[in-house]
Amino acid sequence: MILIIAGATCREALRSRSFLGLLALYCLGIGLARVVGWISPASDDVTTNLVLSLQSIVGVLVAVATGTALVHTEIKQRTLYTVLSRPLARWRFVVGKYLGLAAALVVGQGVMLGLGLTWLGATGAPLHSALVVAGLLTALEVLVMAAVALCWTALTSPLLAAALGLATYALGHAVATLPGMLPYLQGWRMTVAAAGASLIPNLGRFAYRNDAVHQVPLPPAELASAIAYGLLWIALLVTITVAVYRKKQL
Amino acid sequence: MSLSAGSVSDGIPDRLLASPTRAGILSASMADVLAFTDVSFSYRGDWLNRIRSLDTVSFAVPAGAAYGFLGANGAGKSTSIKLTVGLLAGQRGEIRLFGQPVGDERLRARVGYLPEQPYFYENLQVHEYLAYLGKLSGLRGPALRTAVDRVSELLDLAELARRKLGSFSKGMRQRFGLAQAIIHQPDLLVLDEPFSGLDPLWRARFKEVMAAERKRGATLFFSTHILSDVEDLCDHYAVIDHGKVLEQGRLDTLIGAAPLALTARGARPEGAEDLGDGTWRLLFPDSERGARLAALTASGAEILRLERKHIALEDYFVARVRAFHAAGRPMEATP
Amino acid sequence: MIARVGLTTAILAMAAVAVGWNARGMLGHERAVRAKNLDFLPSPVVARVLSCGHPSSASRLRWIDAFAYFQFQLDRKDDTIAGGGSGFKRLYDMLIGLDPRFEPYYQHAALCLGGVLERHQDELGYLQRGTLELPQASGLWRSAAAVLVTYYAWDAQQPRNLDRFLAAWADSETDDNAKAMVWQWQRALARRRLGGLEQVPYWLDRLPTTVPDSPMSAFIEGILREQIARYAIDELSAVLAARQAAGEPVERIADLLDAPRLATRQLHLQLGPVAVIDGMLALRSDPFGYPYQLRDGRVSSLGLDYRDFAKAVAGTDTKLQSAAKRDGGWPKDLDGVAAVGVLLPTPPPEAEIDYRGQHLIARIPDPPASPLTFR
Repeated sequence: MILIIAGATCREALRSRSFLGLLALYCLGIGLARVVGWISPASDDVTTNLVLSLQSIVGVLVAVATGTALVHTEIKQRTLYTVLSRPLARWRFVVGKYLGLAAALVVGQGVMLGLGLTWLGATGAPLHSALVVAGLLTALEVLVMAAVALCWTALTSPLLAAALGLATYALGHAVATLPGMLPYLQGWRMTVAAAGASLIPNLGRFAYRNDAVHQVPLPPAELASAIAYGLLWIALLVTITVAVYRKKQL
Repeated sequence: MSLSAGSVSDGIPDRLLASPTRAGILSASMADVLAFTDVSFSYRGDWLNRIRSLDTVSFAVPAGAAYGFLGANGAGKSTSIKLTVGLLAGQRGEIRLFGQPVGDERLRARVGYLPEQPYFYENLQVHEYLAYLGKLSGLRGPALRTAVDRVSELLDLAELARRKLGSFSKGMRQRFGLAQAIIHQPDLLVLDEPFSGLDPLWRARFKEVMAAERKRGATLFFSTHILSDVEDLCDHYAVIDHGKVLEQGRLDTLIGAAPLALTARGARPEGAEDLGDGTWRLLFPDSERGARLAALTASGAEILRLERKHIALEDYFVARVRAFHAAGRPMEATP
Repeated sequence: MIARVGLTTAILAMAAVAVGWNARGMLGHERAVRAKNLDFLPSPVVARVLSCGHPSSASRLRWIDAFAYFQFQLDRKDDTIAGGGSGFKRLYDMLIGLDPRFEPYYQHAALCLGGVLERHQDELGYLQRGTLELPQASGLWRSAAAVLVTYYAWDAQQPRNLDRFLAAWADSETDDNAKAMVWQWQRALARRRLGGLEQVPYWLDRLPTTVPDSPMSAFIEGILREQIARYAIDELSAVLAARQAAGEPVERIADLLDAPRLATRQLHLQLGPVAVIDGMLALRSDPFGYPYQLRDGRVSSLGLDYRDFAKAVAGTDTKLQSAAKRDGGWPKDLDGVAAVGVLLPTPPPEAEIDYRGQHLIARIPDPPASPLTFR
């Protein structure tokens, strides 16, 4: 059942105009990245950095935009009436919707990574496996953000959920710098700051792109840890979403 | 003239009609397919106001019946239907579906639902979408393909198989809606305003399909505010207004309460209406039929026509609702 | 149909006008020196937070923006910013904080602080910080060694410390060839020491770290040409003084091709002002491609004069902008510029000052010979 829902959701997402529009935006962005490279002393390095960043930024925009609309639009437009009136538990529906969105996002990320690496190769920038690993971790980051957006929408309106989703993205990267700043706080302030930061997924764990440009190797243990971390947060956020929608009146 | 479960329109080929299922035979032996017992339901409206949309509603849909659920907009029809198919929950009172409490989602495998003004995913094609919903209802493999082809042909969707639903008109969406509701041959067909957005030809076709489903053994439960649809299709009815069931029962009982109208020529008895040209018309209840005919025959009157006076259901319904409101207060929002 | 065609035509026409208007505003401009406001420079930690997980990309974009500030500082030579502190230091601290593994940040920080502002202590600080973060960055070690030798004379005054530094450099290299290069560099540095051209090896070392035709590359090449020109002037002036002391006439610059006296100067064969062509002494063009001249009894390099003139005009233009801001308007012509109290520099022969688009521009004739190149 879950896979059936996921398949339909994935198909619907991949055919949506906004999805394709954002992919077009990515293509435009990597073209402009090359132009920016031309006016920089280290053009290949700048272009590579911007291409990797664009995969993350566009991916997160797609994830937040589609994640906030995923279930809420179905409720508002009543497209889920013909689905939930069938012998289908709501939790399967929510999990299936997320998996479908995740599949679509993975396809999108794969296309972006492929296009980005092809473009870098065509412009003469050096290619290496670290860029692929960086792209894969960025894809995981995007999946976590999709789960964040889905969870926010369960709790509030889509517009506010989108804003909160983007705020979570900013905070999720900010918490990566927090360990160095915590020693400046004392007593209960440090405890409160640490506790608050612990509630937010640390997206810095997926930002290998910053080191990948310099070909700094990523230890396998760290890679496995990042993947496990991402999957854990996804599971947690989707479970919260399921709990909210279980009792929601449609 | 009504389309009862026993008659099938010439418009639908036999090969497209689903054969009576084992489940259909089983349902005939059950007393009620759907039963609401003292069901009340409220939801949060603005701020802290709670709006009670159903107030101790009780009705029962017998197996194999065609049950018309009548009411104006906002009466509580859709709420009742959503409680039946699991879109809403948390009611007070009891709702039983096939004799079981309604909360078990497995029961919904035997239910087909057409929502009011249905919307569908815009980027899926007709066949894809039917297959998707069929799979969710438990169909697989060849049985799924056969079912998709059957309902597509039945509702003239075969030529639109590759079109995306985003481009569909309201009427086309309604056709698709019925197709997805019957694809898995449910035992209970729950339709919320099924004729909305349809032209007269498709209204007639829908009635044919619904009658055919009934013949297969399904129970029909549909809401409408168009009384002529109830007259054409139903044998049971309930009237709901402001969250309360005003009346329910068999339609033939309601119709059967109508008087007989005798048109004759000859000596005009007392109480008869003069129609001119020597003819007159007399109304009397069914129970007096024998005595009256004997008396008239003895008087030498020439009986021209004997028929049951047609009850304008619409007039009846309006009168009943007005009487209800005159007797008690209507539902109000409760804090 | 007619309405649809008319609407399409109207849209296309308006789009053409709008795009053309934009394009006209973009093209045909001379390169302008922008005064870059660096007041908003967050600390490295805050910058990292603001970058939202893209510190490398954010630092690259900010870095590109900073080249305008570099150009500005070439004339101003004072990078104090509002609130105190050094603009370059704050900028590069932020950039390095965002991406500490990017070698060009350390190189460019050193170049800006050492080359432009002549703050060699700060320059050394960034280079050594870079070697700590990137121990295998040979370019940083090399640049640091060049600073130690050129500006701190460690080879003469602290030879043991220099040896220790070079040993640390060699240790950081993983490749045997690269280790050997360290000692070859030391030997080459000793051979290149010549009076008047002490800084040339240092700048020649820095030049390969820049991109050809970039502002920084042009800056370094300008310095090299300037130093070579001054060296030539010094050498030719010495010959002039000797001839005048001996009562020998000097009417033209060619009179300074005095073989016996030139022989005593031990001129640099490639960089000196005199070459031997077909067995005859000949005066080279100055490094800018212009001829050396004897003017008012003194040796001068026309290229150097033009360069100084261009710098002076740029500085005068800065004063003009300040005056215009003060007075609420720009003068209409050059006479007006003088009237607002902005003194115009005296142009060298065949050069002039132009006043166009509310800016003073130095007009210099093209050099008759190709400038000296170093790549």
